[in-house]
Amino acid sequence: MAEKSRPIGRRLFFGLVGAGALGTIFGQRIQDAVGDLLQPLTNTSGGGIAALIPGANRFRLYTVTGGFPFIKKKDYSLTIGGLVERPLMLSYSDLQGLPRTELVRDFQCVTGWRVPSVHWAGVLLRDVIALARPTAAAKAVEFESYDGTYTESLTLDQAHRDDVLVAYEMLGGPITTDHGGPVRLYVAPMYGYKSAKWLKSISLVEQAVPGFWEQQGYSVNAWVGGSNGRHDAPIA
Amino acid sequence: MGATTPRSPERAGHGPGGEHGEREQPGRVGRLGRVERAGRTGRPERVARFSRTERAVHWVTAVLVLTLVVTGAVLYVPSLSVLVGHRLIVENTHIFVGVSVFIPLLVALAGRWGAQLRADLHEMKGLTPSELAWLRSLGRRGRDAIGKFNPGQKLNTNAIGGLLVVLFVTGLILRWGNFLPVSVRTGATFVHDVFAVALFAVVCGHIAFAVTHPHALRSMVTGWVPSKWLRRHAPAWAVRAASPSARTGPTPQGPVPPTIPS
Repeated sequence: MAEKSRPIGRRLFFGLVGAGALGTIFGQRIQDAVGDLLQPLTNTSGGGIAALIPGANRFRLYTVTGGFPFIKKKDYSLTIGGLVERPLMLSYSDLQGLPRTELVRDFQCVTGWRVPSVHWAGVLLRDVIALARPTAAAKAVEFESYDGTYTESLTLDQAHRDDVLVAYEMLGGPITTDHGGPVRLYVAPMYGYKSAKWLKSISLVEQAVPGFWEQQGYSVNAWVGGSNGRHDAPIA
Repeated sequence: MGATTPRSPERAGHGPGGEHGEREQPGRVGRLGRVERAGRTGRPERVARFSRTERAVHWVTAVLVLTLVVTGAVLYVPSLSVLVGHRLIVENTHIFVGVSVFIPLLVALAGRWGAQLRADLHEMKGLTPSELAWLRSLGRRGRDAIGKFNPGQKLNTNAIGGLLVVLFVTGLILRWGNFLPVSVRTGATFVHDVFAVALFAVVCGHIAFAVTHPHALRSMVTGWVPSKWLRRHAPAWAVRAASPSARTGPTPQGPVPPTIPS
């Protein structure tokens, strides 16, 4: 009973705390290494089981409502309205009939994860907007999602960039429901929350109402590396 | 719980140091919890293992941690995110519960009511060589050295504590660390993910042991363990129960709980 006790329990406690501190300081390097290692396994739609390993570069599937709205391609329609001369609705095949643009760009989430070199295809947003002929008063664009809750916006200048798509393909195939299919926005140079999923309508306005997450405090001009207090490498 | 609620030994004048200048109190044996003799109640003899404060802290914290595990899993595992949705609500729940997770423990430690909790936590700090031997033989050898908490329970407590502290701090960084360099925030995300997986594993192990040891589990509900259980699972603690002087006063050579030179 006079046996001396060694503070092993306490060492375990402080060892974990120390490991946590070191991991926070050097974790980015570890995460990059793990991410690169798992890259061949995770750069697919779901990412598979390897995507659950901490550090894996993979899409996290976000929805702000109770479910993921499922819209068949043949039922899909995109409304373009607001300050335009010619309000219109485009079907999925209408969109496919417009000039196709392909991009290979990273997808960066404001929460930190980044999926490198994702393949995207769709129509330039500016081409879609031009079809409806915005009036001179139009200065911004608002987007609505088929989930009935999510909203986003861009200035008209931002909407005219050549890396902003009304996308119908992602990761080398049609966009799945989980990823916002059949049609979603892809705003390459901005954080993921700009790239509204299940795109339902595009509305030309004088001044945009901040989107869903922006009302929670996220930056309206969501440049990757230049907003939200983050310094990620810009998307190029 | 009325009369059956175990009272902490410290109220009878013991510090965690295990002093045995005990007042004459029937059924009190040093650091052993109150003993309720058979016959008086018609129940088998039993010993108080956890104070009311300890049980309250355990269960409130358990609910908080399980909520964190569930909401965290929904935020992290894509198929669960898809199934549950409502990201904003899940996220806010996770953050709100996360910042609250240490409140029950801190409240319990702050006052007189936490005396036994403090003493038990103190006991968690160290392992004697015989306890280590027990651990290395996976519980097959050296059972006699096991006191109120076995080495597995001690390590479990310290592991959950350390993991929770790290998850708490990295969680704060994720939510409110905008002013920090992005490498630190990415590191914090990585650590939060890894430690969450580790916590999940430890909690699963903890629950598995609890379910397969119903007396131990019940003592976290009622506060009591049967003396018989004690002799098998905590013999070094039970020694005092068997002592004839147990009922009336200090044991001649009261087993001193492991004190750690700090």
